[in-house]
Amino acid sequence: MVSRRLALIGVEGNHDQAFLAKILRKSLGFTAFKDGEDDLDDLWRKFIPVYPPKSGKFHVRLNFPSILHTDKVSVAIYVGGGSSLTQSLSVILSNLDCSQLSSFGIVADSDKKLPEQVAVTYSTAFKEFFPEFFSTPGEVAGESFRSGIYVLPDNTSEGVLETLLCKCGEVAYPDYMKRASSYINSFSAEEIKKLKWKPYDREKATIATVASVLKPGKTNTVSISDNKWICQQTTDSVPELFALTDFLKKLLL
Amino acid sequence: MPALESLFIEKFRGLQDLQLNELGRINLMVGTNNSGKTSVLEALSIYSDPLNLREWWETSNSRIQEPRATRSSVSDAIKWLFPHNHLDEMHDDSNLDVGCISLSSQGTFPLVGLAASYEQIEELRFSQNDTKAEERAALTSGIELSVKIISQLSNEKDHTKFIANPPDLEDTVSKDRLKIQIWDGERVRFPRSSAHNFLVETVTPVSHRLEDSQFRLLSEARYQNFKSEVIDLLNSVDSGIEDIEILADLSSASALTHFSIYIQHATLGLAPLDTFGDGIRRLLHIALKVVRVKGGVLLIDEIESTIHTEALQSSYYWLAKWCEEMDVQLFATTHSLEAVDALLDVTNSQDDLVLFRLEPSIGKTKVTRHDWSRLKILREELGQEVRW
Repeated sequence: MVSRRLALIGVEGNHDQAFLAKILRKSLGFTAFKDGEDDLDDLWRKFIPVYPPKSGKFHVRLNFPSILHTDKVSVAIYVGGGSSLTQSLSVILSNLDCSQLSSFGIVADSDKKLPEQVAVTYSTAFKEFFPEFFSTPGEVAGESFRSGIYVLPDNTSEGVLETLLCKCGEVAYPDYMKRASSYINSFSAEEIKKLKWKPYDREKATIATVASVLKPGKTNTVSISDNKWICQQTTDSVPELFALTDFLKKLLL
Repeated sequence: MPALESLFIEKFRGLQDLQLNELGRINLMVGTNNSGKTSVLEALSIYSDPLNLREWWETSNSRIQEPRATRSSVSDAIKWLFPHNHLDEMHDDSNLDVGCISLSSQGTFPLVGLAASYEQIEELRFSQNDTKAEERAALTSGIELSVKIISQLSNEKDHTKFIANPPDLEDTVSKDRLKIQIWDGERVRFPRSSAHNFLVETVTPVSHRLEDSQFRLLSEARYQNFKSEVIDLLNSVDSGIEDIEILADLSSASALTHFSIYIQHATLGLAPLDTFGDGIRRLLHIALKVVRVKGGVLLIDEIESTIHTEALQSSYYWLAKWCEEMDVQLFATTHSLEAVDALLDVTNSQDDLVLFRLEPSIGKTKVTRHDWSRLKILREELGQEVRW
């Protein structure tokens, strides 16, 4: 088996995972590892879940990262599940030989916090494993070991992945986005209150509407993976997407 | 407070610079084959009674299941408890024929340090040939074993000095040291010193088959009114077991000298222990050892061995409960993830269970420590592999 440099990226949700995987495939020349292939890097074998969990949650699907690789680099994109990313990824790292990693990165939502605050929270959580973890949002540091955190949507504003996806959608699917926005905007404030929307649920519902039109019956992750949310046109036209692609390039290549 | 809060094995067999910190009530060693799990138990076994040459001899033979006649010589067996690095020896002649062992610990354990060394020795011996009345010379070889301990009461805390400068003693055993020459082909004297004999008992994957020790252990349990608790444990494997007794074998001509352990069983009636499976016999052995080692340290090699996975949880529940009640600190090895999960199920606090994964690497035995909380998340929420 080819010996590759190993990189681990932690993300908060499945949509983030699909989004990064698509950038890596579309813009940075990575290939997705498929089930059944026999050249899975040894370190990633540690992520393979063994036995069902005994916590009584019999229907919970155990997590396995998305693995993508070039000839020289193999990257695992691990989903930690929203705010539990720090806890689950810390526990995972405690079970790994972290010295085998040549890159470690986090891509997280800013939500309603300052990006710097988000970056500090994560860098503090992972200092135990990576004392040199670099915590300036959007920047990558290090040579033999590279690290960095990208705070969505653009390392300076509040927001989430869907904030960025909306911008991509306006370039790739302007008509669908307009009609989806019109549909979402038709919900009254009273209805939205009754539906208990949280911040950024408007953007999420808009993306879900378009995704549902593009891939009826499929999830957002399938649409992110298969449609043109990330393409040459969006990378050229959406500065935030270009910046994220550049961050990943510096972290991995 | 556990007897051992931390253990540092600087050198022992293949272990090198192994630091086991924040030990718990139950300490589980995992790792691939040849990672040193059993060596940790062996090191602890010697640490419990280091001035007793017999302890060195028995520990050095604990992995051998063949009859005594086929075993290697005492000196050879003991030599293999010491680290051997063939590559070092090839490049450094000074390492030939000598070896050092070094251990230290923190906690209430009576010892804080142990240093031992051996040196290969040779002697030209002359014997008289009866028929020809001539003298013949033969080269005899052996080892000189030197052991020094540092107890809690000792003022000397730096035991590493001993390795560089072994004390120049005649063959002797004293309150803090042992120095003895062991010659190949000669009957070995086993000088006894119990000055620092601490309660440590070992359960190997086969020790339950040695019935001689079972009589004594069962009698001890009976005298301590512990028999019903032992039966509780056996019920986790076979609910039909009602009682256990030592009985004379009346079919034997020498009935008064032949005894066997019998189990009173709901469906089988009174049946000899050796007609039951290994699971029952080993659990009985473990239970009796817990009684014997009250307030001390119990070492179990391959804790899952002979026990069906469905019985692991109930047996470990018993074991965890009685280790706590009897103030026993447990060190166990396992290859089984089911054993890890079962122990997680029956323990419930940070100090109850600690898992140590040993990974040999160049010049050092790496160790990954997972306390109960972390292990719980790794196994029960994330389903992660923790053995390698």
